[in-house]
Amino acid sequence: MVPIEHYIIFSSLLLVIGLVIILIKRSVIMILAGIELILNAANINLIAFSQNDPNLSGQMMTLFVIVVAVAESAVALAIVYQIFRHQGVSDLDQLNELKG
Amino acid sequence: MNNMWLYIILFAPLLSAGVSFFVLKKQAGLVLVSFSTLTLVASVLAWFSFPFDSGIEMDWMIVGANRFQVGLYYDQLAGIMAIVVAIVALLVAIFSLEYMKHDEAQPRYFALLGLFAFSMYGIVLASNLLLTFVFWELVGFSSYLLIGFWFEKEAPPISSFKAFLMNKIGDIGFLLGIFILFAYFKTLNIQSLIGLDPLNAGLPTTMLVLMGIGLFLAAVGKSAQFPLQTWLPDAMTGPTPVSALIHAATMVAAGVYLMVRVFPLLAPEVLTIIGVIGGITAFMGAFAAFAQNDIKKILAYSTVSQLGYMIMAVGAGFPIAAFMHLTTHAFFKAGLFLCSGSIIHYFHETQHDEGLSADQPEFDPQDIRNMGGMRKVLPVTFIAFTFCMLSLAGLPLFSGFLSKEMILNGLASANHLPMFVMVFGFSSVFMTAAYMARLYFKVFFNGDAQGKKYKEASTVKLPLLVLSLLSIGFVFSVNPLNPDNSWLLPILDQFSGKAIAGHFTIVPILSIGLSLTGLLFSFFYVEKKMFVGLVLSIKSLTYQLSNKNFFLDDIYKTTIVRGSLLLAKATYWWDQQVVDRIVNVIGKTQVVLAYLTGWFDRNVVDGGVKLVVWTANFSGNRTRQIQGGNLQGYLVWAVFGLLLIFYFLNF
Repeated sequence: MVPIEHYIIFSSLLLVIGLVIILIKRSVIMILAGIELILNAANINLIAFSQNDPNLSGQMMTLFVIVVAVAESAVALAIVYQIFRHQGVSDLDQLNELKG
Repeated sequence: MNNMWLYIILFAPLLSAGVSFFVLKKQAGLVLVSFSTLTLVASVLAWFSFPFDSGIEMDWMIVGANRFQVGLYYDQLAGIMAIVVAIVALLVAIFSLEYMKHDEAQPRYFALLGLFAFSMYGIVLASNLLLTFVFWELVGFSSYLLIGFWFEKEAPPISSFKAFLMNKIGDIGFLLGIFILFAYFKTLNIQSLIGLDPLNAGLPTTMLVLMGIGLFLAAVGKSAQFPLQTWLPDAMTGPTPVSALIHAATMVAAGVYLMVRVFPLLAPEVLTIIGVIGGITAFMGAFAAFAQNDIKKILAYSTVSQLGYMIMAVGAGFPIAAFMHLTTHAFFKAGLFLCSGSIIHYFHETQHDEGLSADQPEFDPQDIRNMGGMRKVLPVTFIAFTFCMLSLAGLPLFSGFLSKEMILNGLASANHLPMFVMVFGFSSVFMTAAYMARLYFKVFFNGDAQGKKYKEASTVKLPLLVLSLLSIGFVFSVNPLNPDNSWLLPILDQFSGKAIAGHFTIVPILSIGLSLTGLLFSFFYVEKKMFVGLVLSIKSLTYQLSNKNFFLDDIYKTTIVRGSLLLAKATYWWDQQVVDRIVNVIGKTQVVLAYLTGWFDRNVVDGGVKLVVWTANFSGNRTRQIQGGNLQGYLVWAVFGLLLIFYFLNF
């Protein structure tokens, strides 16, 4: 059985990688990918801890998170697509139409 | 309608002033003559149809609890006075037609005469002292304008200014009297005041005397009494008809008229002062008339002297005598002045025709030394002058005799006056006759006629003849030897109970004797060259004294005028040396202070403000990056904050 520390270290790495992607990438799509990584890091934690849970509610939670993440990605990608169509850019820096 | 006559008397002259000045400039003189005729008719009709002791009262203003009224009041006194003023004003207006015919400023002249008449009727008819004061000032003002009528010459403006100032001194007294009366009685209506009987109303004696002196001071100014009489001789710089109207017959009589009006308000102490002042004035005026060479100046001093008589009579307690003399004097003195005007006019005209002024540029048409033998040149003037002069000298059968008898009798019976007042009164009789005879013989006799017979204009003759007729005693009394028989007295008796003093047989004898002596003395001196040595010896002593009117003007010049000049200089020095320096020091201190505060402002206050601004600017510049709109920047900060929270939670 894989000890729980490995999961935690792995999910931490995944979290940090996602975070770094969000912070340093310009493209909105890449940032969305980073957000997915962070969500998945949380999923791994949930699954890992649910090993000690007879109800498996952690895994249930994970399934919910995956579903919500899919929906969220679909909506976000649609928005990005629309913005790209209107303004021809997909970089976060250039999306400053609403800036006062 | 009932009061129509009063309104006509009062406002017709004002209307004539307006019309002659603004509308009918070419006919200004005729306008005045016609309006004056209207006024005369109105005042005569008022005498017969208007009820006495009645008038009009109306509110002028109500200040708090004080009610100020104005109004007109008509009684016998006002009626006679109005008729006298109207007659003299009409005659003077007619005379002016001829006298002023070459003058450029005729509309102004006749308008001013109208304005003057308006103010005079105002004084005559005013029912209360407030309105009297208003017209009193108006009279002074129009007199000022008329004395300075020829303002482009050198002397008239100064004389008018002097007259105005002297009158103002009197007016202060008038105001003072009015204040005191109003403070105690809350009314200024003369009849109400007399009804309240202020002498026995429990007024403090000081106030009573002060009030009386104040009112008398008004008369001193307007009627040219000692010590303010110096303006009247100087006022002769005005046109001669003006001198006749204002400075002989009417305006100067206003003071006497006021005294007669308010006589019941005068305390016995005040009467003594009035009598003494009147005596001094009568004597000084008569004395000063001796050494004058200007024909109008002689008449002016004579007026001062006669006004002194009137004031003396008031002081002696016989206002009716004063008023009687006022009436007779108005006619014969106006006559004398118009005669002198006729003579002066003659010289002006002949100079004009013959070009004498080119040969004799210094020729003075008013100097009696240049005259002589005028009886053949101006016969009508000669006759009129004779009548008026004899009246002034106080010979029987003439009007002056009647009034002078009343005054002298009054003086003889007045025990409250010092003895010297009576002595002054009688010696002035002698002097009056003497100086008038001197003038008379020098002008009308004394050598040959200077020119051919000159035909006086009818506008000159008429006033002269009317006035000389009015100088005859029969006009005023059936028996011209006894003032008791005068028809004026029973009328005026209603006004004041004690019109007539007792009769002293010695008084008429003495006065006639003195008067005749004076006339003969001058006759012999001027015509027969007698008493030359005597006159010369007296002259050396008194000539200057008389010529300069007791140096009164010089005394004023050295004391009051120089005093005020010194005061002015002293205050100027004080201003320059002290006040200005203090102001300068204060100014400099302020400049230094301003520099100091300026430095403080620039360096400390401004520095603080700038520091705050710089700090805000600096911190703003430093922190604006945080909210730059960079989403990832926000995230970095959020993560950083989260890490900090974790870090602090763990420890």
